[in-house]
Amino acid sequence: MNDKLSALLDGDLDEQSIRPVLDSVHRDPSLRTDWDAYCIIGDVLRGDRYGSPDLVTRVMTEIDAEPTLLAPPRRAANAGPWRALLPLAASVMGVVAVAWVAQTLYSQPGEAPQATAGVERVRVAESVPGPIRPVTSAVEDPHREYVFAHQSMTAGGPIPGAVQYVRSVSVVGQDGSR
Amino acid sequence: MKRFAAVLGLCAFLVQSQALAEAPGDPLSWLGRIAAAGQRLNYTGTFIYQSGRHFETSRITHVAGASGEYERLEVLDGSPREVIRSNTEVRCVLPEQKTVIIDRPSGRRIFPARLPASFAGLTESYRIRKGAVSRVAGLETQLIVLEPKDDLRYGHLLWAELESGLLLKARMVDERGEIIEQFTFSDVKIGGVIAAEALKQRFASDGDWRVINAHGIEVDRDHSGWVMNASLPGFTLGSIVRRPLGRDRGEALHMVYSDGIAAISVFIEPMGSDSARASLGPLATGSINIYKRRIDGHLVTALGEVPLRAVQRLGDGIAPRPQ
Repeated sequence: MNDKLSALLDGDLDEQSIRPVLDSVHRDPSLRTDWDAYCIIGDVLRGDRYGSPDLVTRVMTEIDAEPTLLAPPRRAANAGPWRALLPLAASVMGVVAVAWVAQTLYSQPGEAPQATAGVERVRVAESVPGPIRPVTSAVEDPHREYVFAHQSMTAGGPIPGAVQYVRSVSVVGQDGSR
Repeated sequence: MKRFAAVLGLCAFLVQSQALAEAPGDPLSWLGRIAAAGQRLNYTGTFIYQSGRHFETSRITHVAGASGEYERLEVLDGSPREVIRSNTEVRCVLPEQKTVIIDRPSGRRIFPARLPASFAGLTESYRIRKGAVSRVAGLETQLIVLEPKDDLRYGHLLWAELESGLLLKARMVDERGEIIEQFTFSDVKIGGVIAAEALKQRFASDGDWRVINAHGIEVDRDHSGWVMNASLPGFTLGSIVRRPLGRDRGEALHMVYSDGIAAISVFIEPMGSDSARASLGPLATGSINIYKRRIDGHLVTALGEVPLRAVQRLGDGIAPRPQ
């Protein structure tokens, strides 16, 4: 499918083939993320978007260093720059670029509706907790009563009533006062 | 270059067609379903509450019957703490501090009228859409994403069980997608009969316990004596309550603003010897941001599960009503 995506970006797909690809992109969040990433990588390679300043240079250097990769069998003859570049660019840029692309997707509110599904996966890595600090005995939180009163007035949203109260009794947020 | 223009066009097309594909009202009706399920179903389970980098495990049991809703929440890590909720009362029991905080929900929130009339107002402040179907606590869930339209509120991701609509996971994220807080059921049993034993308060709270009665009395908004000069898009004043706040601080005026999901409370109380020592400015307790300031011999405390700039704006906007 990724082949088809890059072919689409290269404008190498005929009209009949475009529709199914678009449909798949539409249905499959992970494909949509790939699409977003390709669009951004394309922007960066073209210089339309400010990315890591030496990204293009680095990618190009790597490409020069490994010329054999640029000669895929047969179809490569008429393959557009996209099909040639994408797998390579993706592998060269590796984690750094993926992280950067994710970051870009994140920080652009306008693109977020498309991006969030893909962002999920990246967020997992970001949210891997550090060592879990043991919860020590509760300290007197001067704000607990305020928080309790706040919770009691705001129940009724999607989060069930009593679950919300965990904020009132929780000690996880009180490190600042310890 | 033509090719790239075409690519851009396609990108725009995708964004648009995605919006069209979401039947209007569909994610909204999911929100209604989630809210109803949380109140009408029997369930019992263990959930993990995460705030920033910290975690705590709690057990919750919820029973809904002809006589109303009953709920018990017990924190399983660290010091024992529990919250018991019924139609008429919420008790927050803190055995280590020998303290119990009691509130009596006012009439309008008694089951099942507590259901929000509509989530339609939310679309003013959030882009709401359905996400992927995935598994939480061994059950299939539908993800509903509420993406804030401005920087005055956080984003919400809600995972609801497909069959019942019960919320199994809820995540609040900031503009960078970092988790502010998250509730996740690790194990849950939905439906069935739950023994009354499971709802009993575990710690006896009599004897030398400190009882803080936080029960509030509704105040007519024209007679509160205070005005709000700031406006916060999407947030509306829900109610004003006069409530005692322990430690001889007298009464506090409590105003609640909400955008349908997030809420901000503004407390106004006379300055006492206690409050004179209170640190002013921005503070945080877990996922809740707090902003304090003094005005006219009063201490103003604004707090809510929203970005600091939002609580600060309301905290700064409050002023005594001109005579």
